[in-house]
Amino acid sequence: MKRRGAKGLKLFAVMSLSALAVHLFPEVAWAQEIAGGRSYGDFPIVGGRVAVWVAAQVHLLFAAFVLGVPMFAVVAEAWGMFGGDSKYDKLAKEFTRLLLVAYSATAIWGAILSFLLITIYPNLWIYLAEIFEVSMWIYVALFFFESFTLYLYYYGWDRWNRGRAKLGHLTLGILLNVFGTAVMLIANSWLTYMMSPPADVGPDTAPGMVQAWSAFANATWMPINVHRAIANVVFGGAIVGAYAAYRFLLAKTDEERAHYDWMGYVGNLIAIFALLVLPFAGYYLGREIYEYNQQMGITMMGGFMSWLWIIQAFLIGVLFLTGNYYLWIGMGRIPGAERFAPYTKYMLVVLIVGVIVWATPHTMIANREEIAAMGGNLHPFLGVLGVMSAKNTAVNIMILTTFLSFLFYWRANNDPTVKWARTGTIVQGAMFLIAALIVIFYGVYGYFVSAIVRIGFSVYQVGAVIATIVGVVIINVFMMRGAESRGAIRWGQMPPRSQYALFILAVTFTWLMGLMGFARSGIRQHWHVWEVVRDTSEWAATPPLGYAAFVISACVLIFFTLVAFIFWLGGLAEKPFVSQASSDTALSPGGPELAPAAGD
Amino acid sequence: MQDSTRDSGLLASFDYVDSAVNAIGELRAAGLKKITAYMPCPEPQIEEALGYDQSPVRVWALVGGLCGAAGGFALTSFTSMDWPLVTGGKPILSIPAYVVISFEMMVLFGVLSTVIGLFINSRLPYIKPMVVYDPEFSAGKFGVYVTVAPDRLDRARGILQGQDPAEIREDPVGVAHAPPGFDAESEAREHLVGVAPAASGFDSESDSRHETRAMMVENLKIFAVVLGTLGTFTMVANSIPQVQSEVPVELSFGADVSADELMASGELLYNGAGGCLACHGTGTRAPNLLTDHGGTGIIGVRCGNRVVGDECKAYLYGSMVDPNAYVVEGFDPIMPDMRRSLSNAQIWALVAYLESLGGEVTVTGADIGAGDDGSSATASAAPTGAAPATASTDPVEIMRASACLGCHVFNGEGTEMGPAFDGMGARVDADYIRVSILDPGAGAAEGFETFLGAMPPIFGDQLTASQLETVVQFLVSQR
Repeated sequence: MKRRGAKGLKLFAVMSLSALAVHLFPEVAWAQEIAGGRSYGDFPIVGGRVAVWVAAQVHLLFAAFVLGVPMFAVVAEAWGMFGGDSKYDKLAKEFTRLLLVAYSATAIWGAILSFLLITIYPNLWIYLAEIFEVSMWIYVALFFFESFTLYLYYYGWDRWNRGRAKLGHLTLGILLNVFGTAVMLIANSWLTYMMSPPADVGPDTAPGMVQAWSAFANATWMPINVHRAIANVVFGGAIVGAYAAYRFLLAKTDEERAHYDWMGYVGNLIAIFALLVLPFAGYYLGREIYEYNQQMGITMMGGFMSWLWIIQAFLIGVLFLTGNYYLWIGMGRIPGAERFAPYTKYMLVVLIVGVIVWATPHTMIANREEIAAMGGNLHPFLGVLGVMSAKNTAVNIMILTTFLSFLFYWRANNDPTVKWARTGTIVQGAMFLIAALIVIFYGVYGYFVSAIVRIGFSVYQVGAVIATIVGVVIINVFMMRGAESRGAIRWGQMPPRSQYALFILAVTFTWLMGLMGFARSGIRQHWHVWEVVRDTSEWAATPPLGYAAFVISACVLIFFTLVAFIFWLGGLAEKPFVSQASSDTALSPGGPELAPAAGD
Repeated sequence: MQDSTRDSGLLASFDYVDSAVNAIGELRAAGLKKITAYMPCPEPQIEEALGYDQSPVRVWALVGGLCGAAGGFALTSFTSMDWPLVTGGKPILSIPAYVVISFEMMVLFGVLSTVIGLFINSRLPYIKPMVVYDPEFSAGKFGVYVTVAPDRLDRARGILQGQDPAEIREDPVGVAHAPPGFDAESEAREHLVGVAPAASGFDSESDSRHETRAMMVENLKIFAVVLGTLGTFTMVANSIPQVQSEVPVELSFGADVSADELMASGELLYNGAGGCLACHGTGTRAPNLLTDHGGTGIIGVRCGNRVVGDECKAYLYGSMVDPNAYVVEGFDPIMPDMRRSLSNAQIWALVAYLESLGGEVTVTGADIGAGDDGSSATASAAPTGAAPATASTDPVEIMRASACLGCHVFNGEGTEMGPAFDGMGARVDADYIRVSILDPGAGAAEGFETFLGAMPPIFGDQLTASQLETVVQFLVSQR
């Protein structure tokens, strides 16, 4: 009896201690299961990497749209308020209606991305979540505030449309932008941490030891913020332009056609103007990448990803040519624009030459015979053009040319009446000429100095272009006061090919975003977090550009299909189009006095 | 009683098709286009009179057939590529053999899409009751039903009577007499029923079809533009040289690893995953290692002469783990510590490969093993051993044995690279010193930021707890 009792007591003690251990030290007890957990999941047919890639890209495209549109919607509303022109207020409301239906899609794709990350990259998710958990909570909370603000902003539009209430409504729009920007800043910190973690974080650094703010505000965080903020405006303008083009092509009445012609013009104007400053933001990002890690920077620009920038140059060439083409066609509906028509062929030549120079590769993959024939690794002619000195010069000249197109468009049907008009025009011309000369001078000079000095020259080139744009605009604003109109802009009288140009612009902007996303992720190569968390999955290698192109095209197709469906949904509640009167100006074209249905 | 504000309907029954055709023509010419025709058999003349275009079902058949054919080729091609079977030396992708399957798929999908298109375009099945229909229209009569505004009723009646109809009925079973629950307004564009349509701008079924067709054509054009643009970009991206990044393969060498094996692995790393070519490939950002540099010879020749006293492999290894120590004149110190991205074995493989370029490979398994153990063959490599350096409890002895004085100065002894131990207690507290020893990468003292990462994080393993605390308290006491 005693022996049985003793055995039982021992058994009881062992079991009790085990139970205690399980509760006090669950990690030890369940270590077998934790240790056996998988590092990577998979996704049928396309694989885990492509699934996450597509989800992330489509989510980002929608996010760019819902973040970019409020920026210029608020500006349009303010312009309508303080300028006393209700057309812009209605336009802003129509922009916001597009936003409303796209917002849900953004959130849905964000959820898809989150679940795919959790299931396919669980360890990476756990790692990042431990570092950024607080920011993730704030991120979710901001969604709530942003949604609330957006619904108030849209549904309160007609209710709060006078006096102080209107001012409050405008404030809601500004608040919407604040929340949206905050959301973007938080999300940007996660992906930039993966690219540029703080220098003191290494493979052995436990996530809990990573300083949260240091991880949040890492080296490439602010450059990405600036780049994306501007790119969102560009993208939003392009999608709005495509929407307007679609409505234009299907319009049943001349008034409807006129309204959407004007809307397309405004969307394109926003996109092209924001595009002019985007390269500078991209250059800032590139510099920060180089500053953070030379190897990453050199891989990006001179390594296996260098050819990607040739494709980017091709795409931006398409953008510049198409954008200018749209402006030139648009001048056909402006009385008095005929006098500028002869200049378009020269501008076309300048743009084409600029695109060719910009798209010229520097490094040619050549075999021994070709190297012997060329006399070296670099082509005797192309090798001269395929460097940043030539490319910076080309792109700055293209920017000046595009701005000149816009200036012609602005002044097409207006004759200035100020006494100093001739002098002002001469000054404007001189500014263009001086800027071009500065750009070309530093472009040529850059061949004779060291790389670090040459990089600094781009600041002068950019500065000259920006100064010219700002100066010419200021002069023109004053010069056009009281200008005599040569005739009303014939809104709506545009050939369909002009609208297809807007579609090409939208598709190209979208594809470009996909390409840049591939570039940003690809320079990490086989690292989830650069030199900290290695990618040991079967998809660790960065795929070649051709493969990436297929995925990007698929993402763009998915996005446009969904956008078309979403806009169709938004149009279901739309009232029949109603026109009121017609009027026009050139820069504030406004077109007809229109009250487009806004799904009220 | 008929609502005078609502449209009215007139149904005329004709014995002859010509009469019906003429009536339809005159009604349309008069602007009365809300016409529905009934006929006992298909009559092209009536369809032409109503303004119908060619049937869109043929497009469905074409598209379905093409999709089927493409799908057939895709199915056969991808399955062949996925499970390639070499048969008689023929190519894996044998187009003639796939024609049969593709043909069958073309027929199948073509038929299916034709039937679907037929149902859709005919708006079958009807689920709403037809109004106005009279069984006599299936027995040989031709019916023309026109919906008109009340003020044009007489005009319409006059036109119909001019064609000598068998009968004219006014609003026979029209809107006013619709069955309960029948929503006439919603019938406007949907079916071939004589119901007054809503004010939608659609004059007749044919106008509605015109607009629908125009919209479809426009949508197809837009889709073609989008696809064409995407296709162009994809094609351009696929037409340039395709380069994929390499993932470093983990290397494991035994003690008797051969020089050839090391060289081969090193060459793969150098030209691929190591990322060396990005900077050393052109000779502008970093010295070109594959060619002569400034008359000093290729890397395997010049490496032994770069640093006095350092043999070639020591110099090459040191260049990779402490690149700022040996920056070649005329170049910037931009090379990263390769230990962050490559393992010790991979680094030694690279050394062996570079040695082979013009020189003799002297790297052996012992170098790799020594590097893994922490005691490197090169003097410049930091100690990485994990075993306790001493069992002493004297703090100065511990610091000497752990090579602290290799980077820190204390009491006139040591090397001034990191913060001096003298007066440390006046500058920082015990917690700071403890963290600095256990996790030196957590931060650098002011003025020593460039050396962040130089101190190895090994002392947590190398020192016992009491030794660590002894050193911490000793340093805190230095004021």
